[in-house]
Amino acid sequence: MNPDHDRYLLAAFLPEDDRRALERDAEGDDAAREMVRASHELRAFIGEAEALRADAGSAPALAFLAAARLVSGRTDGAWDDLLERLERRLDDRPGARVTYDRLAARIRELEAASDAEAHFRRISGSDPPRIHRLRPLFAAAAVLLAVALTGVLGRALEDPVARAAHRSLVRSSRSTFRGTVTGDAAPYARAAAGRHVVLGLWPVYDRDLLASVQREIADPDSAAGWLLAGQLRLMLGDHDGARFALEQAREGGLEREASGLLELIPDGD
Amino acid sequence: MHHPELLGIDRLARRLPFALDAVDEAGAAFARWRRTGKKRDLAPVELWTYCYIRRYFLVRFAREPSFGVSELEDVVERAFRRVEEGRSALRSPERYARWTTVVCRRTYLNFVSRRRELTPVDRIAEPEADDPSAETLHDRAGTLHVLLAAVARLPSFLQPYARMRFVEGLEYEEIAERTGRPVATVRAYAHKAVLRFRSDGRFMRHVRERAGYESGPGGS
Repeated sequence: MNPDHDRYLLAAFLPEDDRRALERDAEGDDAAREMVRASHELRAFIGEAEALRADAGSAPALAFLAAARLVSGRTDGAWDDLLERLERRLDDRPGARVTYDRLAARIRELEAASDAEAHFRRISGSDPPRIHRLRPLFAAAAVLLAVALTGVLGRALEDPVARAAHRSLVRSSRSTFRGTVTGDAAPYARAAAGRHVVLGLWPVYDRDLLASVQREIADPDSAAGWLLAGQLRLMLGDHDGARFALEQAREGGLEREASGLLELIPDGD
Repeated sequence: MHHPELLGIDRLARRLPFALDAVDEAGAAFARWRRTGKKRDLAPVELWTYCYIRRYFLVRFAREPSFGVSELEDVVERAFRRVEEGRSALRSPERYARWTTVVCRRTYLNFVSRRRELTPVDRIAEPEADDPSAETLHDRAGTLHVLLAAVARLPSFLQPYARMRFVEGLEYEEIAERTGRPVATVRAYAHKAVLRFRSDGRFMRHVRERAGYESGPGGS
């Protein structure tokens, strides 16, 4: 992607006047026009997802929301959070809430009167696939084997970039405590505790703790803050985010420490 | 707010290795089975197809109190059989989910039309003018799922901004208020997210496919 043409990708997301101006600017430049076209495709796709929310008050959309809340299978947190938020919005619209509850009750009633698994078995002629669980004996053996292997290999398998980021973070922490780098020492201390070594064998990264420090320092306003953000992102395996943060730190004056980490990020990440 | 308990159909759907609305994974599972022809690879395809079809008809039946549970099972089976019979001719396996919703729609229209023939005219309800169809809603849910997955692949510092802007549809000012960041920063982050979307091959495949689909069929 040509960085000079990046701005055209934003065309469809801009207010009408700005969009038209950018589109006029793209005329006669095939690459720019291609970016404008891609922008509209992206906007249309994202708009379709928006339309599900916009329709959330209509009876069919309420029925869909009720069905999706009750039947979505194995989902990740983001999907469940979104549906829950859509459902919560109904509390401000009593009419829609009543309709939604009625539709959800109807779906439960239909499902209660029918055995979905037996029906599936009958029409497909096969049993539904099972979720494989290890038998207890095998499970115990697997755990022992895993313990032995991770004990031996734990350090060897540790992500060297994350390890280097932690070392760098500890160094930054010392500089901050000594006052050679300005900044609040508390996030460093917490982030440094985000890696510990169990029984001297297994390096463990506390992702929740690291993520919480990251949220705390979101969008830093100093080179030291960007360096810390970069170190945290490397420990969390977010190489793209780390590169961005470390470049800010380097531009902000912490060239040596930031460049050292940037060099460790694998190409193509 | 109610807390949804697990229904039999959801327990069944949880045996799938992916979410019911993960349309790209459903398409990949179908493509894999077509490639290998192995029974082991058919199992998730069959289960996804059944659960997806059944939920489609739950959405339809939820609004029709006179439709009975035996009719639900009957129409689910009809759609399942039609999918089973027709899917070998599908040219673009990645569109399996979308094509399944089309089959569901046709099956539903046939079902309603047969039912109407047996129902006195004065008992047939007038259709609502502005109904988004059940298949449109299923498609949009698939789109939303793809978008959420793309947001999850963004660098973590961009994710909350992209989620609020593109998934929740909040205005820049609202996001600025929620996050305590200046509007200009929020706008810059949302723009960065768009640039990242463009370089996300998985996401753009869906975007292009949808754009092609809207301008004309040709995959199924």
